[in-house]
Amino acid sequence: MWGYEKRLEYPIHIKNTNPSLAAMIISQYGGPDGESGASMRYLSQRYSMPYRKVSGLLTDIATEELNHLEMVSVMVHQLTRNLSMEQIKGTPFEAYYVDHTAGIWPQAAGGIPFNACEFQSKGDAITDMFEDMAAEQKARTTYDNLIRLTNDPDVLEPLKFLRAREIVHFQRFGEGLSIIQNQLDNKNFYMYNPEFDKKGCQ
Amino acid sequence: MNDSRLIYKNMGRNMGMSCSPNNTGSNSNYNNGMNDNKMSCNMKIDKNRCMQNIYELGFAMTETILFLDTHPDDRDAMNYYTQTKEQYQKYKEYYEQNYGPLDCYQVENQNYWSWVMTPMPWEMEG
Repeated sequence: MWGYEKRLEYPIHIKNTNPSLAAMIISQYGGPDGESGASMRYLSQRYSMPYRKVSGLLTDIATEELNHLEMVSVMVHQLTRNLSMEQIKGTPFEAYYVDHTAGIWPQAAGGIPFNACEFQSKGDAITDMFEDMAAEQKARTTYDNLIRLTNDPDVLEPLKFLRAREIVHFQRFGEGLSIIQNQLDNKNFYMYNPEFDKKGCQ
Repeated sequence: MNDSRLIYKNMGRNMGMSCSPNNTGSNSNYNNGMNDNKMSCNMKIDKNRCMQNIYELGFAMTETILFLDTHPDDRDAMNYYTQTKEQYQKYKEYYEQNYGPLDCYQVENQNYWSWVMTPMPWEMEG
């Protein structure tokens, strides 16, 4: 179960609105490598993961990803608050405004809605760890791309924080992979799937 | 693995926690800014400074938790976690006594459900 603490993981106070930038940052909420996909991916993978260090890691990183999807939502919200129609017309935010006004809705920068296909839960410990490491790198690249789009320090600081967290999570998942491999036959890690083939488990 | 140890060891430094809370059980008075009559001068903590400490200590905890998940036998990390958690709880308690609950379990028995009184974190004053 989860509780809620009434603060962000990292403070965000964006003074200047910027609907065009919001329409890009929304991708880290509902895009292919966004925080919604990240948290759902790790939460879903936990249940069949037979190693407690790794199922614990998945739980705690997934929980941090929930903080991140809140942070991304807050950035989009603050960038689009109190907009006039003149500020919306002709920007990339205009199409989003038609369907969602200034509400938060998970979609990619290109307008594609969030889809569960954007995260993977394969039921195989090694496969899932590689998936997770790749996911963290893809999210890091997306933050790199967003950081190049703005000079506003109020937006840059939280984006840089989130980017750094992707790198830390990548490191931790790499350790998770080692923990799994250390329990398997080092001559053939792929002899069996430790999440499914009970007979072969050590 | 040595890299990750460095990350959490460096994190405890430079946190800028120059004020420490004095938990003398002062009465709650949210929205009043500083509550002054029960604190000596250098123990007054302004709301923003207190929240800054909560942010920094909370982050240090998050980072250490992930490290401990994959290094559960690291005694240095365990000690660091224990110390950080203690500090975190101290500041959180101080904040909640003076400025309102950070989680709904900390609403004290009053005439009003204060959980819905204070701003949400996405509000500009949050």
